[in-house]
Amino acid sequence: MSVTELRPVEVTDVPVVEQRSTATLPLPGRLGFRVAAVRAVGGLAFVALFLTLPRSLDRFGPAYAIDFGLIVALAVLSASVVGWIGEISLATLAQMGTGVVLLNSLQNHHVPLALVLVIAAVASIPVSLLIGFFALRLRGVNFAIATLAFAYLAQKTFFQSYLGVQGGFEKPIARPSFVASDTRLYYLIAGFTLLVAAACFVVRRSWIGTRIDALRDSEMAFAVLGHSPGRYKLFTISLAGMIATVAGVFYGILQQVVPANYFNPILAIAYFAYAVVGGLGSIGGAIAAGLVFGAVPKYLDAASQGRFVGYDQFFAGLIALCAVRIIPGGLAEIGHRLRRRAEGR
Amino acid sequence: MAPVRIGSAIGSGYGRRPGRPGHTTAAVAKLLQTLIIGGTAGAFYSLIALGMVLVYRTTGVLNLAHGGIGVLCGFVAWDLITLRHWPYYLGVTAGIAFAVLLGLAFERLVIRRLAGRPDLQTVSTLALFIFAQGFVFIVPWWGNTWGQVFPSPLLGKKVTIPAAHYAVTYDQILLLVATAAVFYGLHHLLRRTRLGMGMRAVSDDGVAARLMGVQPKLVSPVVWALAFALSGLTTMLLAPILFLDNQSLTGLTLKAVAVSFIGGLVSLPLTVAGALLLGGLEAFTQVYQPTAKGLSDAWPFILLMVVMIVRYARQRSAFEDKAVVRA
Repeated sequence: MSVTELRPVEVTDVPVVEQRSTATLPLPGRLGFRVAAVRAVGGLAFVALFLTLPRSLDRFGPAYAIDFGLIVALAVLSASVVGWIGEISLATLAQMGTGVVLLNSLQNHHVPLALVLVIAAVASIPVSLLIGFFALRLRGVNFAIATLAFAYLAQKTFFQSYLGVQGGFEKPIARPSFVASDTRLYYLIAGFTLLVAAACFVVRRSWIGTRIDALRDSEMAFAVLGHSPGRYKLFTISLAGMIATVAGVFYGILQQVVPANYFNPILAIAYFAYAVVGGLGSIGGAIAAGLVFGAVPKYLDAASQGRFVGYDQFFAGLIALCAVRIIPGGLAEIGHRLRRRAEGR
Repeated sequence: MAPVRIGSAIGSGYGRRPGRPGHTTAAVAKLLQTLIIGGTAGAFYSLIALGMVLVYRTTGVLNLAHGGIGVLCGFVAWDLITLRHWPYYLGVTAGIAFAVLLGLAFERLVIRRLAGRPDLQTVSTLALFIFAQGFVFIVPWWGNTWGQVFPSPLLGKKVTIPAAHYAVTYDQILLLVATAAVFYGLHHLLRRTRLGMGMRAVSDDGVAARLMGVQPKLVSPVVWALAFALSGLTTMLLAPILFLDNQSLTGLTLKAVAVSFIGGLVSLPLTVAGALLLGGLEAFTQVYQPTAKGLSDAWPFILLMVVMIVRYARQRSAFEDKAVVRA
């Protein structure tokens, strides 16, 4: 058959209807029924869990455990946020300590808690910029070492003199009356955690998140495209710093007496490991890991009448080791897999 | 002319200012004491940092588990010597052998599985650090992990340096000698032996090294076993001086991390120099400025800042030189 014998296919020859009928994937922007149902059920279950968590876990231990877990979740989220730019920060606890100190000094001046939270968030920026200064010049392991040295300096020079080994404030932290019980405090911290998670989610989905991803993939290409790597790095580190500092404020309210030893850089290393178990960079994974490593040991302590004290670090290390080896994506990867399976994708 | 011994010269009043008898002698003694304290502290940091540099230089992984593994192996040796009454040298050998086995197991089970992912490998050392620290805490018969006395055949033996009026323990001298030996040994290993050059080759370019006949599967276990053994040895040398303590030994590791940064995590001589500098600065601050409590602990951070600024300036100058040549 020669070329001249070929005739163009007429539009009417194309079986348009049959082609459409073979399509199995939903159109972009529209959710399939199963996906929508799974998400709706998941959302409702989450809301129910959120509202009833302290009461449903009441038989295993006090609401203090879940409060502590949420604060650890915020700290882990802070470490995870720094992971967005592909860096490791070990100064999370130093920034939390700043929050505790700020809370104490602002309470001494009778500043209300709502304002304390705002001031703490704003005041964290200079500290974050100081840490961010390293991020502009150092990368990877070197940046991690710099943040570790900063955390060590902060603990030894500032927190030990201000907080003391026993947590000796001149005037102890007072818990506001509206969060007098641990259960009430749970709703405050949980609400804030949801707010922060939502804000982080919005940032990740916005053009800022896209640019941060591009920056992490190739800083050189990012700069060549006309963007400022430093600006985005400082933004990310400042966001992480805000989360950690406010977590410190909540920690001060929960504990009221905070010894300087809590801000030991070694614990910051552990928090970073939790972030890895959660899935570095993942918002939900970080919160889940924080709850697992923060709340579960406290419930175990309460249930076993103190026989499990000290085991948390051992199990945290073991779980982190297994997670890195078996599922490098962490809890977030497990969550994604489960969701996809439930949604039939 | 008879040789003049420094100690006797100072002791006889050589160099004293007229009218201030004994002032210069006391000042020199204080200075010597400070140098000895600083040198010992520098040796602590050097020994820890050298182990970290070995791993980073040959694998590209920052071994954050160094301190934790050391403490764990130290406790194993302490258990055997103190609680089970094993002979000292046998207990120490068993502790180091335990470290070697741990290193081999870690390499086989974790590091090899994460080949080509130095970030995850670094994170896995971090997880191992937490695991090792937690393990030390949960063994019930190890009891108080805040400060056990580690036995040593040299315990209590000391020699007084006349000019400094200061007694140095045999354990401190052993530590200094061991630091020098480890430094020389690692330097020789990495520069002069086929194994060491193979380690560096695998780190620089694994594919090229394989083409040249180096087998990474044989090199990597050796590196990790050696690093863990070094970590155990370090603890067993430090513990008789400081106590076998989970917290303080790990605190030293944090400072050693900063020291290893001074050497760019690759240079052994710069690492030792940085460690001695840090030890010296801390000692001088503690002796001459005892009121400035925070300054002594701030030195790792200050040194880090200075190193970073100097490196940045050098990089910038190199960049400008290249630009001039191109123009």
